[in-house]
Amino acid sequence: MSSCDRIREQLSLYAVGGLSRRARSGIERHLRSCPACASELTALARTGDLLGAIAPRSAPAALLESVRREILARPRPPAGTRLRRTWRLALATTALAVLVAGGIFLRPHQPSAPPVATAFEPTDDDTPAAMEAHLAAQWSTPLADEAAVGLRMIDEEGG
Amino acid sequence: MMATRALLRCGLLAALAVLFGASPGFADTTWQDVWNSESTSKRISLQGRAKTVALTEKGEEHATALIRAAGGKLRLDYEKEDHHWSLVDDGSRLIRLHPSKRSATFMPRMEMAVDRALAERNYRARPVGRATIAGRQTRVIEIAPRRGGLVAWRLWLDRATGFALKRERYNVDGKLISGTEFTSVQFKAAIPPDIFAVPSGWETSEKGGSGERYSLIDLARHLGFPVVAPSYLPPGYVLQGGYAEQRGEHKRLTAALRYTDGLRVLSIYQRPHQEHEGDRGRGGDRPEGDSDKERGGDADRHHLDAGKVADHGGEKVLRHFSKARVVVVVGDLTADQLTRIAASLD
Repeated sequence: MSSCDRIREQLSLYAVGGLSRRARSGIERHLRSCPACASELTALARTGDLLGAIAPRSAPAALLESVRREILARPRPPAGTRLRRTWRLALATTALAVLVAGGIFLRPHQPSAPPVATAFEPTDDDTPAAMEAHLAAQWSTPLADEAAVGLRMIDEEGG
Repeated sequence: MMATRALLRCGLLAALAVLFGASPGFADTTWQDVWNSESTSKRISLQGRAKTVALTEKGEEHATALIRAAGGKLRLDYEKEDHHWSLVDDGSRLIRLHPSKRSATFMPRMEMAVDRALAERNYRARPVGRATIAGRQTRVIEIAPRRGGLVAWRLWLDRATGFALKRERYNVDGKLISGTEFTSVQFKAAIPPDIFAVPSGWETSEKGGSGERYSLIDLARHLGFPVVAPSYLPPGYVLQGGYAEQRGEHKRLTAALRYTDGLRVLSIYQRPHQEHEGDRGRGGDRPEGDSDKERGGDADRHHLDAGKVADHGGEKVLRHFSKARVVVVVGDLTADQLTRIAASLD
């Protein structure tokens, strides 16, 4: 098994913050030198983001009411059929409950510290980060006024 | 008759020698003074107080700073009203000290390859007078682009040591964007070496990446996504190097390409564009009323979307979106130049 194979086996856990600090460091070292695994991680992170973006929604009250009315309006079946249906309904409800519970427990939790390939949210985080790095670069240029550059750096940080 | 002609010829040659020989020599001497001042500031030991001003997003910020330097290291202790903070350059890193939190943040000190010949090709330096700063005699030097344009720097160089006791920097529009003036200075001061270190027991953290310089190919390999060089650059700018950055709230891996004309810095940042990085982020950069619908609907959504050029501390910033990447361009350039750079990355 190649080192890439070993890393990829652990990437899903890494993406959800499920690895020890030591294991994470090993993976991060590998990702820095392996674009293929880094790209794999980006794809995983994107899938995770899409899952996370699905928010639970309540059905509109009008829809619930119309479904209830339709059920009540239907002719009642014979008693035996009703019993079989009740059992079927109970079975289906149990199966649904198992699926929902599985979904809750198996769904990856949000990591406290984001992995290297992080979620790309539509906020303008780029400009302040760019300014900060641009100022750091200016520190070592010829004729740099370090006192003034430092004042701007502190201001970029928010004082 | 022959003698008169020979005399005229000699006179003409002498005039030409003065015109084309003496002027560059004069300019070279001034540049030597500037570079001497740069070298002096790296090896001098001093303690002084200075008033400093910088244009920021909020406007002009003023502060006073206690400046201490020795052995190529520098410490700045700022005071502004009742606010105090410090920055240390220990020769390999920049360190932001937070005394109230007893913590320090290490930032990479990105060593820019200084190309003096490039600076001299793009700028002229000339002496413009004398002045007294912090009780000392100085020579005033102005530095301006050779291709035309307004004065970019004014330096007040101490006549005894060559050290710059006052600096002013102007942007391409002629606006003062930063300045520092010593109000008192003591050369050959005894500076304790421990002021350049983080006090023991303080918490430390790092940010900003390694500061390591890469070629474009190596940078792309390191980051795992394509890195594109612009096909348009303003006159006089050359590539200085590529860096891997990881800053901001989201710690996004970003490729930073740095260009210089010898004195000014142009930074181009790029990272892959994510498909669900939707209209909220993109819309902020559009001219008012320039919605997808007005521009022809969703078909146009992923075309290069020219953003607004914003003034940020006297320099200009442009954030751009293309189908493949998010680009930020920062530099002391005209809005048109920034737009052309960003468009040339598509």
